[in-house]
Amino acid sequence: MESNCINRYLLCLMMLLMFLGLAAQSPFNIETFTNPAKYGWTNWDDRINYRNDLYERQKLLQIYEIDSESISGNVLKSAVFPGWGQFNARQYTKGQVFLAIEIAMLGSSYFFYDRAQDNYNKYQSATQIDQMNSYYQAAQAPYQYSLVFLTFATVVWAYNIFDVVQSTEQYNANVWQKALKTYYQAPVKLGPEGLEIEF
Amino acid sequence: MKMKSSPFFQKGVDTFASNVLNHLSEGLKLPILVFVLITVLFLCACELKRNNPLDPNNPGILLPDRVVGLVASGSGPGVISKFVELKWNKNQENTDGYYIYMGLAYNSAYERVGWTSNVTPDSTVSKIVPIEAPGFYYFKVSAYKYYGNNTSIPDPIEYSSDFLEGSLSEYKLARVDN
Repeated sequence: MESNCINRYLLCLMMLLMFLGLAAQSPFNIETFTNPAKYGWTNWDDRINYRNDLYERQKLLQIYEIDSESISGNVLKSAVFPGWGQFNARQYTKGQVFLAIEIAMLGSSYFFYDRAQDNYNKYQSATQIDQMNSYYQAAQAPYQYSLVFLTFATVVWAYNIFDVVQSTEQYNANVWQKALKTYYQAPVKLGPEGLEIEF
Repeated sequence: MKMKSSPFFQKGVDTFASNVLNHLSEGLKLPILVFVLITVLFLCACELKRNNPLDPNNPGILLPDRVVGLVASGSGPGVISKFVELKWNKNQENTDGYYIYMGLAYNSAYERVGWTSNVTPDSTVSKIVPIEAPGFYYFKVSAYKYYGNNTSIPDPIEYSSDFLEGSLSEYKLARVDN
């Protein structure tokens, strides 16, 4: 019994809210909606040209979307494996350079870290003060080199992420330009008005 | 006919990422450069921890003094059991004993050949090192201090990881005759 009352109450509340929502809407203005001047058309030819232009762009967009690369996808790839995104954006040299620098930096960092760790282990087990100081000093310098190389590797990695956005944008712009060029230089075009042949 | 591509195609995440990074590239070049430089300097200033339990940088760990006044004299001619007698000044504090090292040249590797405690009423400590063959031998001595948990000091060779050893003394040459 009580649950029926609550259900009715909720139903009334929902209807009230819907009514308030409808009342809050601004009235639909048919004149504004159908006014062709809002698009900047001054005559019938403008409208036809705009429609043709839009139609052509939509066709080109399909070509573009097939050939273009996703920026976020390339960023993810470059984040995982530096240079991968640049490879995808057909900037092979740049990708190779990023990959090589990253491998060199991380390799150097690991090399120095390993050397530092070796001496540090000896320092930790040393009992003679001269050996203790000697091993500590021998561990200190490679440890700092390791950190510096790691920092540069991080900087290069971050720049690689930054660069892949620009590379992908450039690649996509090139794809678009190429699509445009290919389309407008094609001798045969299919448009809304039928086949168009240029001589 | 010229067509604008950018407003038509940039969208969603791509647009957002692109805008953020373009903004970064234009307005924040100097701060990023400064940040990188500060990070590099900070990392260069980072040091490894001196966490060896016997490191004198730890509180309560005192380094034994360096041994001074070392004298080495070899056994004379005709002695069957050849030896070298070492004498040095006793360390008055921070020393539980001494390690003795022997080498075949002044700049050669020195091998530990014995040890002796610091328990002596005299102001000098002496130790006799047996020698197998006549020749010239170089000696160095270092002091050690026990930092283990035992109440009595154990064998400093067997439990050497609990002993902090000070700097080696100057070398001394001893001639052992045939």
